[in-house]
Amino acid sequence: MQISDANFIKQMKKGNPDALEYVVDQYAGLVKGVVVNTLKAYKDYYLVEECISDVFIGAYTNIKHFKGDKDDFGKWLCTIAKFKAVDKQREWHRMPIFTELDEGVSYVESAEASVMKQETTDQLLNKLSNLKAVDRKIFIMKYFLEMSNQEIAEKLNLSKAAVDNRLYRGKKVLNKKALGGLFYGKFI
Amino acid sequence: MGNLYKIFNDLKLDDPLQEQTISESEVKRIKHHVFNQLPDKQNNNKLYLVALITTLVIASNIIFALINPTVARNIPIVGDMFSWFSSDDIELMGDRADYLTAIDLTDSSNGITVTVTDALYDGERISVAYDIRTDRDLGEYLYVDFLEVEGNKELISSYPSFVRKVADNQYTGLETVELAIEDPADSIQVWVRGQEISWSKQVEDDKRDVKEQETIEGNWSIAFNLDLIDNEKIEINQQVVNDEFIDIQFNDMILTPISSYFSFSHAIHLARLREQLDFHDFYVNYQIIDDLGNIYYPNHHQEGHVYANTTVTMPVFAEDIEYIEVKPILHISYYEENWDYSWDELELESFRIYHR
Repeated sequence: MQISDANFIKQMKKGNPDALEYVVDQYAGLVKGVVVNTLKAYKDYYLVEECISDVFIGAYTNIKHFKGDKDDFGKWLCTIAKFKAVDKQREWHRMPIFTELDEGVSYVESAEASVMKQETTDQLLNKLSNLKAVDRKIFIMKYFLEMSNQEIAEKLNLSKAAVDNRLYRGKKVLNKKALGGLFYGKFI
Repeated sequence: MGNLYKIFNDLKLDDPLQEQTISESEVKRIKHHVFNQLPDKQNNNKLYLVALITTLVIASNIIFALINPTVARNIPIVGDMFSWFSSDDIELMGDRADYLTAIDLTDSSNGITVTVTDALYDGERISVAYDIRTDRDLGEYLYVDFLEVEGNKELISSYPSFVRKVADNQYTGLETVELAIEDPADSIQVWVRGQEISWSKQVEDDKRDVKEQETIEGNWSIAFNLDLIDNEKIEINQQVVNDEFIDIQFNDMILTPISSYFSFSHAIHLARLREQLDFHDFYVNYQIIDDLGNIYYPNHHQEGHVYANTTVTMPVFAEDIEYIEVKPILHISYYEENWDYSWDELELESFRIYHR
């Protein structure tokens, strides 16, 4: 069967690897853009390519959760790419450091971000299951997609103050359940 | 909480994103990585086929010759790579048929009759020989992904099946799985079961280019126990390479009447390697030659990257040798400019294994 724009999503859902190959051909440049943008400070091409591969594997193995058309698929894939790249950062921060970043690279992260990255994605996701759906989305955008509070507000049609407030209240909820850990306190 | 990927439907990033140029070689590496990482059942052996085709052809030639002696002479021998299995060698392998276990179990569904004729379990791999009869023409090659073993988690990789047409509506071939078992059981439960058989209408030299894949659905299920053939496992557990960039440990070797397996593990010294070059990837292969000058062409199966275990598989060695010499070679790819990369080989100090 010839894979095309018209049928690749359907064929992906049927588990046709030809469709996956087609998606890699069509979207590799786009995914690379997202991944490199997040991981460029590491200057590790292997890390970047590994992350790009993880994006396509993630998309293929979770395609049943995708809803929408071709345009939606590109955005969904980019969201996965951002998530995987942030996740890769988190993974990297838990690994022994083999080399130092170049002095010339401008890469400054907060203590919060640094500590956040020490936790595994599964640990963080488990904690978020205690939140309401909208708060969960906010936390995911904040910590898994590294979006600013302003960007989250625009995405969810909320005011920035509402996002700040929900993040603050969400952290309190997690803390009450003794799950706050890194979400709690003055981090945000 | 709900599946993260489901939530991503609502969070789709729609910021203007900077698409980056990506070279053909990058895409090729990404595809290779993706298709090798997919769970076995989702990988229908397309790109995987390319990576493993050499092993497959060797193995299928052996079994094919054993179960179809009348057509053995027609098996194509592919270049120097397979000189070890010249037509004379195939003839000499006749006594190895003793190690095949006759199964002869059949199941039919949707006009397709699948018979497991023979099987072989040597502690590291299980190979099953098929005879498939069809009520219609299904092209030149069939792809079946039927083989499951006890526990299934122990299965580390499945070779693509290589089942080819031998007569009108008759196909014969082989499916193989590798096992991740340190101490192989004397007997193992094997299931041959599946819901579909695929074939390509047009098979080209480069299997990755095959696009027209057809599938026939059915329900085939055959179960049997398979006994381990005679084998000898020799524990080594010695460091054989202590290099600036890599340490290699020789764990053990398993000798069977039809094959030899060496198990190595290595650790790459990333920090030192990074000081020397901007590397992208690396892997270790082993060159093996005996004291009589026979060169062996092993198959490698590497699990892991910086810290990895590698199984090296070879035919049996000649009996009159004194030793074999093993030379590890570290293959390193490094970046030059604009994501282009080159491969280089670093030959490491060789070591000898003496024949008792």
